[in-house]
This record gives sequence, C-alpha cells and structure tokens, in this order.
Amino acid sequence: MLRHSTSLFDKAYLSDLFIYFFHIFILQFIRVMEDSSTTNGEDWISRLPDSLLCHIFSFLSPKEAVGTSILSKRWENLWTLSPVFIFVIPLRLTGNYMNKVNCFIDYVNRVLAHRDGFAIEKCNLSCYTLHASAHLYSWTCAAIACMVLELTIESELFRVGQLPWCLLTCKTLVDLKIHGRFVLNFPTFICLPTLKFLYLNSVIYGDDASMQKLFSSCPVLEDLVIKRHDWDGVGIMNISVPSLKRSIFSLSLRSIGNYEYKVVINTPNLEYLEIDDYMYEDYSVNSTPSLVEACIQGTCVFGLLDGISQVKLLALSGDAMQSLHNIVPILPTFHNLTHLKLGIDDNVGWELLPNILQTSPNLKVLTLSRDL
Amino acid sequence: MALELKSSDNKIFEVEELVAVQSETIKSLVEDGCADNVIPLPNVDSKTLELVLDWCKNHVDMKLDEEKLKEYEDKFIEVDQAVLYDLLLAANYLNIKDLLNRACQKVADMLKGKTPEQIRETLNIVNDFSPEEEEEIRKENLWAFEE
Repeated sequence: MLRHSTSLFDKAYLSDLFIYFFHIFILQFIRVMEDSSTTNGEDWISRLPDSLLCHIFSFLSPKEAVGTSILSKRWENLWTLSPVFIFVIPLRLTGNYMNKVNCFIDYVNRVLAHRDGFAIEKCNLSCYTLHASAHLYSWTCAAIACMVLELTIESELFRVGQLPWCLLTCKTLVDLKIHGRFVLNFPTFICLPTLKFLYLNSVIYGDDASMQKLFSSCPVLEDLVIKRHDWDGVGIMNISVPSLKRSIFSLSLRSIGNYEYKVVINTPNLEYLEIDDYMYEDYSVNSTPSLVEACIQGTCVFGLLDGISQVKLLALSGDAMQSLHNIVPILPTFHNLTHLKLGIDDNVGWELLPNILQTSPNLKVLTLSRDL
Repeated sequence: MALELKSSDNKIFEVEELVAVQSETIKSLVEDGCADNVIPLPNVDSKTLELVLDWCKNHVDMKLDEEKLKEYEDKFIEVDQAVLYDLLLAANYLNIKDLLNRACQKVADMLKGKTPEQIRETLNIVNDFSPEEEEEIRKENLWAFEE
C-alpha cells in the first residue's frame, strides 16, 4: 500500500500515509458503529439487573471482565460478579517486589470481600511467595463461603501450611486441586458429597488412617491424582473408593524408618490406571473388571498385575519389566489384552517377554517404544 | 394442546404447549395447573413476545438439525440494541435458557476486543469518573493482568 520513497516529505508518500491511516480509522469507526445501532443514545446496558450482568460476565475472560471496571461508577465493582477468579501471583516480579505482593494481597482481599457470598464457579489461588501464601487460609475460607465449585490452591513447597476445616466439609466442591505442603488431617468429621475430581500434590496426610478417611469421605469421586514426593506420614496407602473411574499415582519418595509400606487398591469400577512408583513394592489390588487402560512405570509391579488382569491396553516401562524379571512371578492370564506397549531401555527385562505374550491369548498389537 | 399468552399491551398469542414450555416460567405454571386461562405476561410487550415465540417454535422444529438451528440463531440475534435489551429482559423473565445465553453472548461480544473508550461509545456509557479516580482504578485492577 505504501510506495517506497526516498524522502519523508515526498508528496506521494504523505498521501499514501494519509490514506493508510484513514483506512484504519474508518475500519475502527465501522466496528464501533456496527454495534452502535439505534438506541436513542441510551445507556441500556447499565440498566440491566446485576444478575443478568453476572451472566454476561461468564462469557468474558477474567481480564475482559476486570477491564469493565473503568467504564463508569456503576461498573466499578460489577465485574466482581464474574463467576471465575484466577489469582496467580507470578513467580518473578520486576520492580518493587514487596510492594507488588502487598498490592496483590489487597486486590484478592477486596475481590473476595466484595463477592459477599455471591456464588463463585471457579477460583484459582496460586501463590508461590511466602508472604502471600500465608493468606491462602483466609482466601480459601472466602471461596468456600461463596459456594465454589472448582478450587485450585497452589503454594510453594518449602513451607508447611494450614487449610481450613470447612474445605473438607464443603457441600458444593466438584473439582479440588491442592499443590503444596498443606496438612490435611482433621480429627473431625469430613465429607465432600459432590467432589468428582481430586488432585493432591505434596500434601501432608499425617498418618495412614487420615489418608484412608479422606478418600472414603468422597462418595462420588471419579478422578483421583496423587503425587507424593516427600515424607507425608503415610506408609500404607489405602484407596477404597467404589465410585473411582480414573486414577493416577506418582510416588517418588524414599522410604524411611520403621514403617510398613504397602498399597491397597479397592476400586471395582476403575477404568484407567496410571502408576509411576519407585517406592512401593507391595501392592494388593482387588479385581478391576472394568479396567480399560493401565500404564505402569517403576519398580512396583509385584501384586499389581493380578488385580489388573482384565485390562485391554497395557503399557509397561523398562524398569517395570526388569523388576518383574527379578521376582519371576506367576503371571495372570490377560484375557482381554489387545494392545501391549513396552518401554525400551538398556535394562529392559526382555527375558520375560515370551511369558507375557503366552499369557495374553488375544493380543493384537505389540508396540516397543523409547518412552511410554 | 394450545396455551394463550397475553402480552403487556394486551395482545393474545395462541401457542402450542410444546413451544411455550421452553420457558421454564410458563412450564412451572402449566405443571402447577395454573395455565387453564390466559397467562398474563406483564413484563413482555407484543413485539418482543412475537420474537421470543418465533425462537421457541424454531427450536422445537429444528431440534434435530444443529447446523440449521445455529444458522437461525445467528440470524435471529442480529438485532439492534433496543431489541436486544428487550430480548434479554424477556428471556430472563421467561427463563428461556438458550435464548438468554445467546443474547448474553451477543452483549459479551460487544465488550470484547474494544478499549474502554470504544465500549463507552458503542453502548452510550457516560464516564462519570474524575481523571484521578480513573487513574486509581487503572492502577488497582489492571495491575493483576499486566503480565
């Protein structure tokens, strides 16, 4: 559109420049006018009831919703009716760090106070700074008071934190993610009647009974993800959840002291299982007739295979194959196994492959790959 | 079975029950047995009610044809702001979920991708902040979304 020109003051160049910018202006103007059709110049949108505006905010991103706060006094706090709150304090803040952290804390306090019991659909509290994470307790209380459905709490990992008891008796939570060294054992009654999805990373359970109690208090739980990297009080993991359909365990802690280490899985409706475990060797898995897919990495296979023998798609890492070879187990028959995937590395227990193939009468596809 | 609905300007509309019960409000009246006589709708004028009933009828007729329905919905919602305002309030009062969502989506689209000045212009919103107040809000709220 713009012709090349040697001089900025060339008439043709200036004329082109003018046409270019005029084009841009016209396009913007049309954009505004297209939406601006006749209303007698009335500000009708500000006259809509709060509940309708709340509904409209659910179609905006959090950033767009907050952006409306500057429109007029009526709009200043309307955006706090938005049902989704994502508060993520960035890991690296430039400039005056403490000032920005305090600003963030004030901001979250204001928003949650303003919410005043109005339902929140989704709330994400991610604070990786020591100073801000101290407030997670009260912010969680506020979110629970607003009948939150989906809650994520993330904190740094070098500090032990507390969460309120009301979190574990919340009647509205459907999706809960906790990442951080939070102590989750409460001696009192706990119940999460609507919880379907639970993600726990680095949480401190306190003892075996606490962990078992936590999962038994979720009557409709379908998805469970447990990641344990540091000591959290649990030796025997007891997962007895009749409603569970999918579960993922990632366990990379070193065993310490005089604890009994065992994993007991009692999930008769399980459909998907993923285990990445270099710690436990003793598994007791009750039969899982609905299991479709399983992915096993680590040295944990003893006792596990018997419980998952109905699986259709199985993936085993090289380490898993090697540890199988070491214990020379009697393999169950994998009646339904049609797809088998094996991870290849230097250590893979090739020796066991013929045995596995023999016990899989209906195998159709065998895949060998570098990583699982 | 046919129901009779009366708009705020006293116009009577005769509609199939199947069409009318897309409004949760009317549905509960029918279920409570209060729909034998004419159902008054004092919050909806005839012009808007006609549009709403057209939406409901088409949603019954085109229920199985998703593509055709989407085409209809997109065309339906291309209305000027005055009509949109009436549709929003009517859909809210009559509790017609899909119409309410579509209308709210349309309003949300008007707010997206525009600067505050452009939004004010499009929707005739008067900026009643003093420059100091405006600066303060900009500092307080937009901070969180800087990075």
